[in-house]
Amino acid sequence: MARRSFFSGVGPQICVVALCGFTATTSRAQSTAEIFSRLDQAARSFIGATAAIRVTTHTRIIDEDETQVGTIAVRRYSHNGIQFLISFTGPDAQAIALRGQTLQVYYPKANTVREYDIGKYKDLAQKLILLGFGMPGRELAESYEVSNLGDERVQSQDSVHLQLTPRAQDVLRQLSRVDLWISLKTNCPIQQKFYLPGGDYRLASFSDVKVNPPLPASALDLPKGAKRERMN
Amino acid sequence: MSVLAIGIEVTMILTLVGISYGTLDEAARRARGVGADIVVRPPATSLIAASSSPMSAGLLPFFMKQPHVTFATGTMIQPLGGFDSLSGIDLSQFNQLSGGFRFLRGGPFQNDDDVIVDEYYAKEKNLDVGSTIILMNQRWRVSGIFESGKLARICAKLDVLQTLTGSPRKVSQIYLKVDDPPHAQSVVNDLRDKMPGYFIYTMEEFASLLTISSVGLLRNFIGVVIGIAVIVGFLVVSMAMYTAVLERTREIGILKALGASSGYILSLLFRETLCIAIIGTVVGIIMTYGTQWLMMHAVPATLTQETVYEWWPIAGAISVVGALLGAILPGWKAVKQDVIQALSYE
Repeated sequence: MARRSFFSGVGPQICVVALCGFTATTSRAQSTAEIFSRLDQAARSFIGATAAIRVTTHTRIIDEDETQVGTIAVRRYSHNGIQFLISFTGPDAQAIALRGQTLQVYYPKANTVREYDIGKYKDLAQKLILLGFGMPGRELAESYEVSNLGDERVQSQDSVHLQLTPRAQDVLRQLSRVDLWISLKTNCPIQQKFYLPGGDYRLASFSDVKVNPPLPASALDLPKGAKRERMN
Repeated sequence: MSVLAIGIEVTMILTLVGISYGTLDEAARRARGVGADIVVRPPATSLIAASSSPMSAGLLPFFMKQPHVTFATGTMIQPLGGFDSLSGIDLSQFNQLSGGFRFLRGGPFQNDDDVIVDEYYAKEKNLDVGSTIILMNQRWRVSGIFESGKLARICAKLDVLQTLTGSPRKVSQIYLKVDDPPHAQSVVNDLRDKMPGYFIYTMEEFASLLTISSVGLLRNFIGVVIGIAVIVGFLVVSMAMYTAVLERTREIGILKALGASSGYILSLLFRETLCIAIIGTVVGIIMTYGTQWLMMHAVPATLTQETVYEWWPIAGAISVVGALLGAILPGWKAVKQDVIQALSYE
């Protein structure tokens, strides 16, 4: 997948839009407090989302990009409980679902679902994979040092670019920083970019995001007929 | 009964310690058996990637270009639950690295659904060449049984496993061979500079990580077992000595009437407790050989139990301490007995 950089891709468009004062949201960079307030407000009404997802894994030392495409569905089932299903298609088809404390990985070619009890890591997995989906600003601020890099236009959408540095040392050892682009329209992420200490990164781009669509719990189920294996 | 109970306590400690040491040593032995000088593992990103094979096989040509590196190959490890895992290998590359498997029966993979298993796995699962086995919801045919001590207990074709798990061109770890083993450390240092975040070790370093002290969870587990063993020893001896004191109320009364001091009576009880604890420890050590035999014959591939001699005195000391603690209350009761009442005790 061709990677978009700010300067070679959408940067010039943002400049033009900013100069014209096309919309109120893009003509004035929002303060971090304003962004947090927006996210807090959006999180209160968030009950779910669906989107197309494209994940690019970059290995720095060999300058290699590998891409997976698929869909993501996120559903809030209680105040603190969020479940998700990410389904990748193509040669690397697999699906990953989080239900309570159980992370399920479905391998269609083996028709097998592997279940991992991730216990205390549930919150971490949820906060990393679903970073920006229905997450209040205060929660972001609790887990990360947040720098506001201003408004940007990404994938033809106005967004605010946040740079997050994990506060927890054990997370920081594995993840140097996360760049997050939140859509000003949907208040959901357009892109998440996870930087690993060695310079490798994982870029997840979301498109066709629908917030609070009708989403029954069964829409996030993995195939019932698959063999289930408990791994721990 | 007290001797037997303490024996079980000691067996419990020595068996669990033996399994912990044995399982880790067996893993280290298999890692050394690969014949590589260096192992490269991916950064700890499994929560983000939700994958057990997060490294690109595209790294292999990069490693081959590094100074002193003469060979590189990747493997994929798929956990099967419990202690088992299925390793995906490129057999010709792996043979180049390790000198090849020594097949006791059968031979290498012929078809995509073939697996090779080591002698212990074959014994535990009652497998022979041509047998079928279900792993990852797939039916596999055993094409060969190899001598244990190389990489894994069950191996399949790497590309088959990659396809099955939707991870084409992905590997879990990469093994490197260098031109001269003394160069391994300098290659590791160089690679660590170039690839921060990746776990890169010489094989000796990697094997040394497979010890109890390096595996925090196991250390805690052994601590819990010892705690339970001390409590069991304490309760067993406490009850046994309490009963003994009750049974010997009249004898204790006679001793006291004859002028025996409290210290003498206490020493009598403690010596008896010590004796029980020592005999129990010996019985426990003997019983440990029984559990070792049982493991070797019932689950040779899953659990490997070693005899850890340095733990004999530790287990003995734990049982003695537990027993002596358990004897304190009954001893106190014996000392405080009234002579007249004790003499009239029926």
